[in-house]
Amino acid sequence: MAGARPAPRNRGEGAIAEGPLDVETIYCERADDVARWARRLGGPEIDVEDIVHEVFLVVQRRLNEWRGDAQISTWLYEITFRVVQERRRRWRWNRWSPDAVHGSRALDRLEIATDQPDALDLLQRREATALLYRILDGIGEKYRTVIILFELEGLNGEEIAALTGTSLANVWVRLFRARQKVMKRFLAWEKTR
Amino acid sequence: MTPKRAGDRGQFTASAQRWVSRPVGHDEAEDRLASLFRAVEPPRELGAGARSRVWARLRHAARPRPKRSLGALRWAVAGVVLLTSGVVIGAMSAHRWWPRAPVTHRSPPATAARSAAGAERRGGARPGRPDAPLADSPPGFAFEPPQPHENPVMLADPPAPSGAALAARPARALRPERTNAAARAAVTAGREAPPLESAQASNPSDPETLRLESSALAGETPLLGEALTRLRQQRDASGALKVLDIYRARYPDGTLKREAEGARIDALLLLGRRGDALTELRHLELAPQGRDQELRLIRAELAAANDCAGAMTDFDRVLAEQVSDRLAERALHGRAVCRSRLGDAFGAKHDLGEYLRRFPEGRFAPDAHRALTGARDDL
Repeated sequence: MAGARPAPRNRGEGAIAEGPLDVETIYCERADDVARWARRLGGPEIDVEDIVHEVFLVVQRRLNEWRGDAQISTWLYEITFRVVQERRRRWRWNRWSPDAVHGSRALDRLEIATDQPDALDLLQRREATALLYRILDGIGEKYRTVIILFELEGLNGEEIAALTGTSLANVWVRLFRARQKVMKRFLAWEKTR
Repeated sequence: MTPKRAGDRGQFTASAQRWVSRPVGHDEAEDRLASLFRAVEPPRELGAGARSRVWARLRHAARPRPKRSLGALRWAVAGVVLLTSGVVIGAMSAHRWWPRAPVTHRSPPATAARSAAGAERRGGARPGRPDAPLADSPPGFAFEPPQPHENPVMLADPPAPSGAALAARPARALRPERTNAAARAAVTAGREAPPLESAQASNPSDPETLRLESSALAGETPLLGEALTRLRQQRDASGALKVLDIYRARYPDGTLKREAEGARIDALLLLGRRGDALTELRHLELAPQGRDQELRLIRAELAAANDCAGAMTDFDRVLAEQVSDRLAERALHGRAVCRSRLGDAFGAKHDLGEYLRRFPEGRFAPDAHRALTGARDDL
């Protein structure tokens, strides 16, 4: 399954292309990376197009401030992370609404009218995704990020450290604790079933 | 790093194997969790269309709005709200307090003259006339008798959201400003309800009415939420149906009736009660947009089992509307099957050809190829 996922291009590398650095070049080279990070960090409810747009608006605004002392991927990841975090913070308001009772908006469309087997498979995948992100939502942002990048995005420790701007030791510690927390929440969820 | 952290790292880095790729059999709980990670949908590519849309938006965003102006706008809005509420509160306080205010006749002559001038400027709102301020009381505070189970917003026929979509956006349904007494008055009088915006403009919020409507919704929402929880989280379709029965009995004309009906159909389909689902669907008036389009397609697919002629109408309408590719794909295939069953070989062939043209990699493409090849062989 993990092998089926497309490997991120130039993952963790700083250089993106020859020539001057402009928004168009960065967009062409990195839009897919940003979209994938946004999807992974934000979960099934994220509006990826919107996030990518917002991230590149920030890039457009702050490109002249970027001095190149960090890798472009780290910088983009940082912006994506903040934009997604801001969006998720806004969603927390929705927890006051009855929407929180029944979970994810991704489950809205029950494609059960057709008797094709892939419809059920699709539904199960969506439910699994929604469930996993509900579990991950409760473990704290720094742990959530590391486990998503390691388990779902398929990055190794060094790449996560480079992307998140933390030390390798810190990455391992966070991953270890993230796993403990996820397991605890998963077992708690199983008990309530 | 503390010794504990160092211990964590030492213990962990050696065995930092991904859950998604670890072999099964180490630990049952980890196996189950790993399978959950493996089942997660792979991230979809942004796609060429989305890329160009975002790029176009970036190009057309002449200059992103600086945060400062947004902050200033927020402060301005907050200021206006505070000022308005202050004025309203002041007016209401004056309304209560002014008639009972004692009159000061003991002021010195100069002060008395100023008081008299001030009283003149106030235009007759003088002490001793308790009815005067009442004439100035703001409109919209008059009591209007409650009218349960009547929602002008729904009667004004807005686009109906899907059952789950409603639960996903409950704030919009509950938002009091969406209700308006003008629309209600028009409906009560037998006239067509005015458009929401114009009605809102003509009649500001009536607190009593809004309170009553909110409380009616507050009763409906948890019930429907419970049904949706059972249906979507617990996969308990029969439990959801029971709750939906209670909802139907308690709120036969509820504001969320349509969403409840959508959930009922989902539950019936989940239970395999296709006949009942079709019966329910036949009672619905479906709009040419949103979730209704999917419900119309489901109705056609269910009807196609026994009544292809009846299903054709719905297939035709779905295909005539602006629908997503996902729905169009199902509708084209369904119509081709129905046309074939009804003996319209030419029409079926046309639909299958159209299907293959639009969805060459679609899930029914192999069937369509086979059917078209068979049709050519027959010829």
